[in-house]
Amino acid sequence: MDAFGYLLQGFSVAATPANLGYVFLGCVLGTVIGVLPGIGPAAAIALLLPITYGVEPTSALIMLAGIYYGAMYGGSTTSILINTPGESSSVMTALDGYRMARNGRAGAALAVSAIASFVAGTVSVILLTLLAKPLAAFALRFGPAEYFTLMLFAMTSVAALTGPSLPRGLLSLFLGLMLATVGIDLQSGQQRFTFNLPELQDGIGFVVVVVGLFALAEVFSGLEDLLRGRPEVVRLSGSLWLTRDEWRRSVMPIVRGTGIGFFKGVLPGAGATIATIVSYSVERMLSRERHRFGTGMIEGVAGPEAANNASTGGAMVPLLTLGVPGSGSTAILLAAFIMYGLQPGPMLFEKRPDLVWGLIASMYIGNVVLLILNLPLVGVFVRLLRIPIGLLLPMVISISAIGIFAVSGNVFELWLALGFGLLGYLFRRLDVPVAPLVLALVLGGMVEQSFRQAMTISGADPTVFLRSPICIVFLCASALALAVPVLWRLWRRARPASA
Amino acid sequence: MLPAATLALAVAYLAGTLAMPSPAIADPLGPQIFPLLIAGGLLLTALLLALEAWHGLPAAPDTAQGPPALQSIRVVGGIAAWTALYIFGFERLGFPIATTLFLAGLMMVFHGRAWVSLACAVGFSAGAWLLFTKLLAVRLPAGLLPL
Repeated sequence: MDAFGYLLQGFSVAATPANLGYVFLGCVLGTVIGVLPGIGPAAAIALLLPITYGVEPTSALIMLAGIYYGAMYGGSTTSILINTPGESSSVMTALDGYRMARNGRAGAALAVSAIASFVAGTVSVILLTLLAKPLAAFALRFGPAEYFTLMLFAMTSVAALTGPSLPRGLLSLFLGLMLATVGIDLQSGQQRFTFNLPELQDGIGFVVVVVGLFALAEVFSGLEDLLRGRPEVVRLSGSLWLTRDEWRRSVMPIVRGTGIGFFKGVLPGAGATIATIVSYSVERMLSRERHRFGTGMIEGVAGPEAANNASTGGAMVPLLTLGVPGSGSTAILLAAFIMYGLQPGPMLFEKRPDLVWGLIASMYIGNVVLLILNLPLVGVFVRLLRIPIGLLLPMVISISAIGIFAVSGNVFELWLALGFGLLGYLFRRLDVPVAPLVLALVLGGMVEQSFRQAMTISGADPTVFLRSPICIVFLCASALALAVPVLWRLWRRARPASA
Repeated sequence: MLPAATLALAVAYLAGTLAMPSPAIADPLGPQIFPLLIAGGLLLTALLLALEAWHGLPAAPDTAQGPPALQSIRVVGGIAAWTALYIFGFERLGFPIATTLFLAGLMMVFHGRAWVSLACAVGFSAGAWLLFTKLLAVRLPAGLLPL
């Protein structure tokens, strides 16, 4: 069967009334989460997992994926109307989007953001459809050594490319790996770093870590910011549609942003944020009115928004085909798969094609749902921005407590979550990225397992990681990922001197 | 500060790894090898952080806020302490009472209007209790209330 045949099969799964309901629910929740401060998509997925235990895995994953890409749509609303990006990937949208809103073109800014997101989201799912099967077939050749080097590449890329400095990314990465070693070692039965606490024997749950690092840390920062005053919400003014001139100026940025976003999304580490920065820089460079960027140029909204949403489809490629996520958010989706007893990767395409293709098909439907939610219904979501933060953020702590208690049934994990909340707050203040920690925590067990399996098979000979061309490619790519920030720094230092 | 904290963490983790008993039945590498690699990586990171502190950060990032100031420590410390009390009372008082008290306190400080805060705290606690325990069958502690 070709990709089209599989996709048709997927639509027969995704288009059932129940699954359509889950797509819709995921998209609405994602949009709300994207608009409201407090619970980001990562923490939302983690918190909803215990509630979706009883739901059929395909339906649950369709909803969780909807939250993931729905939040990307919703994040632009806060950037445009209150100049407060909910996610780092919406920072570039705020530069010109907020100025457009201030200039009385808030409706056009929201419209171009929704249209760019829809086009980019749909194109990226088409590319995912075309690439999924060939990549999954290629990944069937991977053994433990190949998987170890692939995961090494994913982790080093995320550590090197998120945050302002390589050492801070590495600190986050190694902390995540450290946390992953807590609990009983599955290969020897040895307890590691449990301090004789029975609660730690099964390891530290990712729900606790994610809720602490994302939701609680966000609440601490948000309440602290509240004492400094609340940002003003720009009124939704102007038609929710584009003029002929705005259409003309938006088309090519959307096309270029989609290409950049998808490519960056497939690569681990680079992710949505870098894609939006590259897209904005490209549009500024190509524009004849580059001096006007930052004053409300629609190209500065269309390009980054397309890049942002195309990267979410791109990020699903390595997650579904190789079983290796390339970002913090997709790492949580991987954890969700594992929680349902599923391991994404090539074998899942063989064993559960209904699930994989149902999920991919649901993303086509989800993009249409999100276009409707973010164009005619955007006014409803804008009203959410008027909910008092002082009432909303404390509720986020209680929702987090419910989600964590529902998983474990004991308060020990609530204490852990509070600790991770404070750690996440400190990370923010010290500019240590959180994504490498989350990725390392989720992948840590698999990284160790594949490392030890490869070494056992080879009789403890470390050259096993240099014997296959695939391993060598991934090791070189890891070295390159580590070298890029250093070389970039050197180049930036040298540039003013040579100018 | 950050390099020193990382170094201390690396040393503690290394000590914990070296103190780990080696089980008789295990794969040839044993349970210590991976933590040893992580400890090595953390030591290297501490060194890189020290070098970075020596040279200064490459470019002052827009998002960096620096170490928390005294005012921030007071605010966040206060919220964390109040949350700790909430966790302490979560099972003892039960979800409905602990959540109402916790939310009412925090909302009164950060929202102001006492009656609105109290109504929201009671409404949220009761609504969440009904939604999660009755509709979604999530187990939450009833505590002092005979629910």
